[in-house]
Amino acid sequence: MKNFILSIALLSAISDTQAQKYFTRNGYLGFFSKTNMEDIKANNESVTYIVDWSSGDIQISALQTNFKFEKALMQEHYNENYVESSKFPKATFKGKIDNVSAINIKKDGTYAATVTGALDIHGVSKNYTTKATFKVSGSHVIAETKFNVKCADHKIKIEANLKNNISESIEVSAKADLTELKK
Amino acid sequence: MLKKIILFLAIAIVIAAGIGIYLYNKPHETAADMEIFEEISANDLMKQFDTDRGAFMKKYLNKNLLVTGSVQSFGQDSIRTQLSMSTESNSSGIISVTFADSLELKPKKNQLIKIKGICIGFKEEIEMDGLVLLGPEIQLNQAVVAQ
Repeated sequence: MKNFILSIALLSAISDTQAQKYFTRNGYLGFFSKTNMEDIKANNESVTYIVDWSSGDIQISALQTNFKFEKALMQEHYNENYVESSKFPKATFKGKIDNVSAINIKKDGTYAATVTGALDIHGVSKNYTTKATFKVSGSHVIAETKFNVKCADHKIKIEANLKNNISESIEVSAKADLTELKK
Repeated sequence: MLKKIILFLAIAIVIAAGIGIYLYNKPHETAADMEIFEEISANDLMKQFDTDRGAFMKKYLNKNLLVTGSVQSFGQDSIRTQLSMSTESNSSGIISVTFADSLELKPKKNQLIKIKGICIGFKEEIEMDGLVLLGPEIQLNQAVVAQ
Protein backbone atom coordinates (compact mmCIF):
# COMPACT_ATOMS: atom_id res chain seq x y z
CA MET A 1 0.00 0.00 0.00
CA LYS A 2 2.84 2.36 0.98
CA ASN A 3 4.64 1.58 -2.30
CA PHE A 4 1.46 2.27 -4.25
CA ILE A 5 1.01 5.69 -2.60
CA LEU A 6 4.70 6.51 -3.16
CA SER A 7 4.39 5.55 -6.84
CA ILE A 8 1.35 7.79 -7.27
CA ALA A 9 3.16 10.64 -5.54
CA LEU A 10 6.24 10.15 -7.77
CA LEU A 11 4.16 10.04 -10.95
CA SER A 12 2.34 13.22 -9.92
CA ALA A 13 5.64 14.94 -9.24
CA ILE A 14 7.02 13.95 -12.66
CA SER A 15 3.79 15.00 -14.38
CA ASP A 16 3.86 18.35 -12.58
CA THR A 17 7.48 18.93 -13.60
CA GLN A 18 6.62 18.17 -17.23
CA ALA A 19 3.72 20.64 -17.05
CA GLN A 20 6.28 23.36 -16.37
CA LYS A 21 7.88 22.87 -19.78
CA TYR A 22 6.59 24.50 -22.94
CA PHE A 23 7.92 24.07 -26.45
CA THR A 24 7.53 24.45 -30.18
CA ARG A 25 9.30 22.87 -33.14
CA ASN A 26 7.99 25.59 -35.49
CA GLY A 27 9.30 28.74 -33.90
CA TYR A 28 10.65 31.69 -35.87
CA LEU A 29 14.13 33.19 -36.13
CA GLY A 30 14.92 35.88 -38.62
CA PHE A 31 17.75 38.21 -39.33
CA PHE A 32 17.93 41.52 -41.12
CA SER A 33 20.88 43.42 -42.55
CA LYS A 34 20.35 47.02 -43.60
CA THR A 35 22.84 49.06 -45.60
CA ASN A 36 22.59 51.92 -48.09
CA MET A 37 23.22 49.44 -50.89
CA GLU A 38 20.65 46.80 -50.00
CA ASP A 39 18.49 45.14 -47.34
CA ILE A 40 18.98 41.43 -46.77
CA LYS A 41 16.47 39.33 -44.87
CA ALA A 42 16.31 35.63 -44.01
CA ASN A 43 13.67 33.64 -42.15
CA ASN A 44 13.66 30.26 -40.44
CA GLU A 45 10.27 28.89 -39.35
CA SER A 46 11.43 25.49 -38.12
CA VAL A 47 13.18 26.57 -34.96
CA THR A 48 12.89 24.48 -31.80
CA TYR A 49 12.26 26.37 -28.58
CA ILE A 50 11.88 24.85 -25.14
CA VAL A 51 11.31 26.66 -21.85
CA ASP A 52 11.26 25.31 -18.32
CA TRP A 53 9.08 27.75 -16.37
CA SER A 54 10.20 26.37 -13.00
CA SER A 55 13.90 27.03 -13.55
CA GLY A 56 13.73 29.65 -16.31
CA ASP A 57 15.97 27.52 -18.55
CA ILE A 58 15.50 28.18 -22.24
CA GLN A 59 16.99 26.40 -25.25
CA ILE A 60 16.72 27.28 -28.92
CA SER A 61 17.98 25.25 -31.85
CA ALA A 62 17.93 26.17 -35.55
CA LEU A 63 19.41 24.52 -38.62
CA GLN A 64 21.40 27.05 -40.64
CA THR A 65 20.22 25.49 -43.91
CA ASN A 66 16.65 26.30 -42.87
CA PHE A 67 17.19 30.06 -43.17
CA LYS A 68 15.41 31.03 -46.34
CA PHE A 69 16.57 34.04 -48.38
CA GLU A 70 14.62 35.63 -51.20
CA LYS A 71 17.50 34.84 -53.55
CA ALA A 72 18.72 31.23 -53.82
CA LEU A 73 22.24 32.47 -54.60
CA MET A 74 22.35 34.51 -51.38
CA GLN A 75 21.23 31.42 -49.47
CA GLU A 76 24.06 29.40 -51.02
CA HIS A 77 26.63 32.08 -50.16
CA TYR A 78 25.30 32.32 -46.61
CA ASN A 79 25.71 28.59 -46.05
CA GLU A 80 28.94 28.01 -47.99
CA ASN A 81 30.92 31.19 -47.32
CA TYR A 82 29.58 32.89 -44.20
CA VAL A 83 28.32 30.40 -41.63
CA GLU A 84 29.94 27.31 -43.24
CA SER A 85 26.91 25.22 -42.40
CA SER A 86 28.58 21.97 -43.48
CA LYS A 87 30.97 22.44 -40.51
CA PHE A 88 28.57 24.24 -38.17
CA PRO A 89 25.06 23.04 -39.09
CA LYS A 90 23.20 24.63 -36.19
CA ALA A 91 22.76 27.90 -34.38
CA THR A 92 21.86 27.35 -30.73
CA PHE A 93 20.99 29.40 -27.69
CA LYS A 94 21.13 28.14 -24.10
CA GLY A 95 20.21 30.47 -21.33
CA LYS A 96 17.82 31.57 -18.66
CA ILE A 97 14.89 33.89 -18.19
CA ASP A 98 16.37 36.04 -15.43
CA ASN A 99 13.07 36.98 -13.77
CA VAL A 100 11.03 33.87 -14.60
CA SER A 101 9.11 34.04 -11.31
CA ALA A 102 7.49 37.26 -12.59
CA ILE A 103 5.82 35.30 -15.41
CA ASN A 104 2.57 33.59 -14.46
CA ILE A 105 1.75 31.09 -17.20
CA LYS A 106 -1.66 30.42 -15.61
CA LYS A 107 -2.79 34.05 -15.95
CA ASP A 108 -3.39 35.75 -19.29
CA GLY A 109 -1.29 38.84 -19.81
CA THR A 110 1.95 40.20 -21.26
CA TYR A 111 5.02 39.88 -19.11
CA ALA A 112 8.33 41.67 -19.63
CA ALA A 113 11.49 39.72 -18.93
CA THR A 114 15.22 39.59 -19.50
CA VAL A 115 16.87 36.58 -21.08
CA THR A 116 20.59 35.89 -20.72
CA GLY A 117 22.50 33.11 -22.37
CA ALA A 118 25.07 31.84 -24.83
CA LEU A 119 24.42 32.10 -28.55
CA ASP A 120 26.51 29.71 -30.61
CA ILE A 121 26.86 30.57 -34.29
CA HIS A 122 29.61 29.43 -36.64
CA GLY A 123 31.27 27.51 -33.80
CA VAL A 124 31.72 30.65 -31.68
CA SER A 125 29.74 31.12 -28.48
CA LYS A 126 29.03 34.56 -27.00
CA ASN A 127 26.84 35.69 -24.13
CA TYR A 128 23.92 38.00 -24.78
CA THR A 129 21.30 39.63 -22.60
CA THR A 130 18.09 40.74 -24.24
CA LYS A 131 14.69 42.06 -23.22
CA ALA A 132 11.82 39.79 -24.15
CA THR A 133 8.05 39.66 -23.81
CA PHE A 134 6.00 36.63 -22.88
CA LYS A 135 2.33 36.88 -23.75
CA VAL A 136 0.17 34.32 -21.98
CA SER A 137 -3.09 33.51 -23.73
CA GLY A 138 -4.88 30.43 -22.47
CA SER A 139 -2.68 27.41 -23.12
CA HIS A 140 -0.26 29.39 -25.29
CA VAL A 141 2.72 31.54 -24.38
CA ILE A 142 4.08 33.72 -27.17
CA ALA A 143 7.69 34.70 -26.61
CA GLU A 144 9.30 37.53 -28.59
CA THR A 145 12.59 39.34 -28.62
CA LYS A 146 14.96 41.31 -30.85
CA PHE A 147 18.67 41.90 -30.45
CA ASN A 148 21.78 42.67 -32.50
CA VAL A 149 24.61 40.34 -33.37
CA LYS A 150 27.97 41.43 -34.78
CA CYS A 151 29.29 39.14 -37.52
CA ALA A 152 32.86 39.59 -36.28
CA ASP A 153 31.90 38.32 -32.81
CA HIS A 154 31.16 34.92 -34.35
CA LYS A 155 34.07 34.99 -36.81
CA ILE A 156 31.74 35.49 -39.78
CA LYS A 157 33.90 37.21 -42.39
CA ILE A 158 32.45 39.69 -44.84
CA GLU A 159 34.50 40.14 -48.01
CA ALA A 160 35.94 43.62 -48.50
CA ASN A 161 33.99 44.12 -51.74
CA LEU A 162 30.70 43.38 -49.91
CA LYS A 163 31.22 45.57 -46.86
CA ASN A 164 28.77 48.12 -48.28
CA ASN A 165 26.16 45.43 -48.96
CA ILE A 166 26.16 43.57 -45.64
CA SER A 167 25.87 45.25 -42.28
CA GLU A 168 28.47 44.39 -39.62
CA SER A 169 25.67 44.29 -37.06
CA ILE A 170 22.68 42.09 -37.88
CA GLU A 171 19.27 42.46 -36.26
CA VAL A 172 17.98 39.09 -35.00
CA SER A 173 14.26 38.54 -34.30
CA ALA A 174 12.88 35.59 -32.39
CA LYS A 175 9.25 34.57 -31.92
CA ALA A 176 7.73 31.35 -30.63
CA ASP A 177 4.21 30.17 -29.87
CA LEU A 178 4.84 27.78 -27.00
CA THR A 179 2.51 25.09 -25.72
CA GLU A 180 2.83 22.56 -22.96
CA LEU A 181 5.19 19.66 -23.52
CA LYS A 182 3.21 16.52 -22.85
CA LYS A 183 4.99 13.19 -22.60
CA MET B 1 39.88 43.26 -87.28
CA LEU B 2 39.46 45.65 -84.37
CA LYS B 3 35.73 45.82 -85.05
CA LYS B 4 35.53 42.02 -84.80
CA ILE B 5 37.40 42.02 -81.50
CA ILE B 6 35.11 44.71 -80.07
CA LEU B 7 32.05 42.83 -81.30
CA PHE B 8 33.33 39.59 -79.77
CA LEU B 9 34.02 41.32 -76.44
CA ALA B 10 30.61 42.98 -76.46
CA ILE B 11 28.90 39.62 -77.05
CA ALA B 12 31.01 38.00 -74.32
CA ILE B 13 30.08 40.76 -71.86
CA VAL B 14 26.37 40.45 -72.69
CA ILE B 15 26.52 36.67 -72.22
CA ALA B 16 28.43 37.02 -68.95
CA ALA B 17 25.95 39.62 -67.72
CA GLY B 18 23.08 37.36 -68.72
CA ILE B 19 24.57 34.44 -66.81
CA GLY B 20 25.18 36.70 -63.83
CA ILE B 21 21.61 37.98 -63.83
CA TYR B 22 20.25 34.44 -64.17
CA LEU B 23 22.38 33.15 -61.28
CA TYR B 24 21.44 36.10 -59.07
CA ASN B 25 17.74 35.63 -59.74
CA LYS B 26 17.58 31.86 -60.05
CA PRO B 27 14.66 30.37 -58.12
CA HIS B 28 15.01 28.04 -55.17
CA GLU B 29 15.21 24.43 -56.28
CA THR B 30 12.30 22.35 -55.06
CA ALA B 31 11.88 18.62 -54.65
CA ALA B 32 9.67 18.68 -57.77
CA ASP B 33 12.70 19.75 -59.83
CA MET B 34 15.13 17.09 -58.58
CA GLU B 35 15.51 13.42 -59.36
CA ILE B 36 14.43 11.10 -56.53
CA PHE B 37 17.40 9.54 -54.78
CA GLU B 38 15.46 6.94 -52.83
CA GLU B 39 11.92 5.89 -51.95
CA ILE B 40 11.65 5.02 -48.26
CA SER B 41 9.23 4.89 -45.35
CA ALA B 42 9.51 7.40 -42.52
CA ASN B 43 10.18 4.54 -40.12
CA ASP B 44 13.02 3.08 -42.18
CA LEU B 45 14.55 6.53 -42.66
CA MET B 46 14.51 7.17 -38.93
CA LYS B 47 15.87 3.66 -38.26
CA GLN B 48 18.90 4.39 -40.40
CA PHE B 49 19.34 7.71 -38.62
CA ASP B 50 19.15 6.05 -35.20
CA THR B 51 21.68 3.40 -36.23
CA ASP B 52 24.42 5.70 -37.48
CA ARG B 53 23.94 9.46 -37.84
CA GLY B 54 27.22 10.00 -39.65
CA ALA B 55 26.41 7.38 -42.27
CA PHE B 56 22.88 8.80 -42.55
CA MET B 57 24.18 12.28 -43.33
CA LYS B 58 26.74 10.98 -45.80
CA LYS B 59 24.05 9.07 -47.65
CA TYR B 60 21.09 11.46 -47.55
CA LEU B 61 22.28 15.06 -47.12
CA ASN B 62 20.97 17.27 -49.95
CA LYS B 63 19.25 14.28 -51.57
CA ASN B 64 15.66 14.27 -52.74
CA LEU B 65 13.70 11.55 -50.92
CA LEU B 66 10.28 10.09 -51.58
CA VAL B 67 9.01 9.42 -48.07
CA THR B 68 5.81 7.72 -46.96
CA GLY B 69 4.66 8.24 -43.41
CA SER B 70 1.87 9.00 -41.02
CA VAL B 71 0.97 12.65 -40.36
CA GLN B 72 1.59 13.66 -36.76
CA SER B 73 0.80 17.35 -37.19
CA PHE B 74 0.13 19.87 -39.94
CA GLY B 75 0.25 23.65 -39.92
CA GLN B 76 -0.29 26.23 -42.63
CA ASP B 77 -0.44 30.03 -42.56
CA SER B 78 0.55 32.91 -44.82
CA ILE B 79 4.24 32.28 -44.25
CA ARG B 80 4.72 28.52 -44.11
CA THR B 81 3.30 25.07 -44.73
CA GLN B 82 4.76 22.35 -42.52
CA LEU B 83 3.98 18.89 -41.37
CA SER B 84 5.62 16.32 -39.17
CA MET B 85 5.62 12.55 -39.59
CA SER B 86 5.67 10.31 -36.57
CA THR B 87 7.97 7.31 -36.46
CA GLU B 88 8.35 4.18 -34.31
CA SER B 89 11.77 5.42 -33.33
CA ASN B 90 13.59 4.44 -30.15
CA SER B 91 14.82 8.01 -30.01
CA SER B 92 11.28 9.50 -30.34
CA GLY B 93 12.47 11.13 -33.53
CA ILE B 94 10.20 12.72 -36.09
CA ILE B 95 10.48 13.82 -39.69
CA SER B 96 9.76 17.52 -40.21
CA VAL B 97 8.66 18.59 -43.65
CA THR B 98 8.55 22.17 -44.96
CA PHE B 99 6.68 22.58 -48.23
CA ALA B 100 7.74 24.73 -51.17
CA ASP B 101 4.17 25.99 -51.58
CA SER B 102 0.92 25.98 -49.68
CA LEU B 103 -1.33 22.92 -49.93
CA GLU B 104 -4.92 23.04 -51.10
CA LEU B 105 -5.85 19.74 -49.49
CA LYS B 106 -4.82 19.81 -45.84
CA PRO B 107 -3.58 16.47 -44.52
CA LYS B 108 -5.25 15.11 -41.42
CA LYS B 109 -3.60 13.60 -38.35
CA ASN B 110 -2.70 9.89 -38.82
CA GLN B 111 -3.30 10.16 -42.55
CA LEU B 112 -0.78 8.27 -44.65
CA ILE B 113 1.03 10.68 -46.94
CA LYS B 114 3.77 10.44 -49.56
CA ILE B 115 6.02 13.45 -50.04
CA LYS B 116 9.14 14.36 -51.98
CA GLY B 117 11.53 16.47 -49.92
CA ILE B 118 15.20 17.46 -49.87
CA CYS B 119 17.03 16.26 -46.76
CA ILE B 120 18.91 19.23 -45.32
CA GLY B 121 20.03 17.64 -42.08
CA PHE B 122 18.70 17.11 -38.62
CA LYS B 123 18.23 18.76 -35.25
CA GLU B 124 19.50 16.76 -32.31
CA GLU B 125 17.42 15.84 -29.31
CA ILE B 126 16.91 18.53 -26.69
CA GLU B 127 18.00 17.70 -23.15
CA MET B 128 17.34 19.54 -19.94
CA ASP B 129 18.54 18.42 -16.50
CA GLY B 130 19.88 15.22 -18.03
CA LEU B 131 16.49 14.25 -19.49
CA VAL B 132 15.74 14.01 -23.18
CA LEU B 133 12.67 16.18 -23.64
CA LEU B 134 12.41 16.26 -27.42
CA GLY B 135 13.58 13.60 -29.83
CA PRO B 136 15.69 14.35 -32.91
CA GLU B 137 14.19 15.78 -36.05
CA ILE B 138 15.14 14.91 -39.62
CA GLN B 139 14.44 17.92 -41.81
CA LEU B 140 13.05 17.69 -45.34
CA ASN B 141 12.68 20.99 -47.21
CA GLN B 142 11.19 22.41 -50.40
CA ALA B 143 8.81 19.47 -50.31
CA VAL B 144 5.88 18.62 -52.56
CA VAL B 145 3.14 16.06 -52.10
CA ALA B 146 3.86 13.08 -54.33
CA GLN B 147 1.07 11.91 -56.60
